[in-house]
Amino acid sequence: MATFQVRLVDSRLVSSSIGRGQGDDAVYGVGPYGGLRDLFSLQRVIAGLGALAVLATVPFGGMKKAVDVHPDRGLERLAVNQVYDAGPYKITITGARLLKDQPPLYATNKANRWVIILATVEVTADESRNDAATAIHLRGVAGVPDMDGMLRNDADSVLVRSDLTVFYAAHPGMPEELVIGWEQDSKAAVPTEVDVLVTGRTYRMNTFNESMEWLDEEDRAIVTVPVLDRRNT
Amino acid sequence: MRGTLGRVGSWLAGAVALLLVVNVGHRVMVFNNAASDRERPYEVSAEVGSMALARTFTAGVMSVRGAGAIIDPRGGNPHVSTGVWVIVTVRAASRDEPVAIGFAGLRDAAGRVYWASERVKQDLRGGRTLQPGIRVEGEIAFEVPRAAPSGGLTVLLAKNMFERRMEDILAFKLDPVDAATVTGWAADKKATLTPTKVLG
Repeated sequence: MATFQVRLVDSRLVSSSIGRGQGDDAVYGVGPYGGLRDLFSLQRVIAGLGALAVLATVPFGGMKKAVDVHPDRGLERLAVNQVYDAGPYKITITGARLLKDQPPLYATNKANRWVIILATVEVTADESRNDAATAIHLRGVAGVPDMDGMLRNDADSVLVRSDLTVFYAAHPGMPEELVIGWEQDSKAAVPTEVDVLVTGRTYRMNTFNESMEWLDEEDRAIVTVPVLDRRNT
Repeated sequence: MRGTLGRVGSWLAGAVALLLVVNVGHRVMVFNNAASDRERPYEVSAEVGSMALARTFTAGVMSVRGAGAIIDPRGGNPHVSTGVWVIVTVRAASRDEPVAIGFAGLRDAAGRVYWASERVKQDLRGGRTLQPGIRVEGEIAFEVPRAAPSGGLTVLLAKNMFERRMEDILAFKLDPVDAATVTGWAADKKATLTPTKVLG
């Protein structure tokens, strides 16, 4: 109990405001490390490590928001009509069109137009999937936002090309041609070509439920597609 | 200093030990992909033409036919398949309370599963609520590659569309179909689906 009281005096008064006397080490019984012990208190060690971690970010821009100056970095550049195995599906971007609003496309604003991507998707997984169309996104097209709030701007309309029914699912080993459309603001510039991003996934174990699933959605390829203006045909 | 570093070292050692225990435990749990076995559906097999009991409904596959395209009598474009349509006649009723057949699929010999198509209107899968003791009969249409029927297909019916872990699934194995028959199916470009009817 006596030793405890002496140490309390040391940390709160002696070392900080009064200073330590020559004979204090004998009282604390800590030998040659007595001064260092005050310097390296647990709180100071943790705070120091934190400060070091922050300082270590300085050469890389510090706390400034990171900007990817190479948006195509890591993306495989594909040609039109090139088959790409994107994970649970093979995706082939076959063309792009600009269409006026017409059934079965229904724009929220009748004056708007449609940027259409024609694509063939084939499920390579062992069960039908209903997310193939969300593996295709436009990038940087005027009048078509890349993002829809916090989410990516998925297509506004996806149709099966052969019968123009609403696309729901693609099936294993059965290539399906799709009409994938985004509504474009009528005041935006008419695009002559568009960048199309293709998203892929990885088949791995879901660590939450331990089942094997297609996860880690990420952009893997990009295709620049010429746009044919078919608004008057 | 030695005391402080010692404490930090003890904490770090404790954290590493904890992570090690969690990691080893996880590896034991997922050994040999145990989740897919542990939570696999309960499959109830039955012959074509007979009824089978699931937990919430009873159903049977009565017959099978095929087509190259399905016509909607209400109009619209023909629904041409890049493979072939397989159309099965299903008879079903709920057991104790109203329920719908949320999932209908065809499994081929390689284990690939094809969902019932949404391109054509078919209300027995998903849309229609079955009532206890009242049998209904209707058709469910699937699209499969043309090579699939020759290996033998299995009709799968379950209550839930997506969450089928530890759920019962009715399975009806269809006889393999020779290539000539499939070619004949594909040549039919004007098939229509028989509307669902109440048998009583």
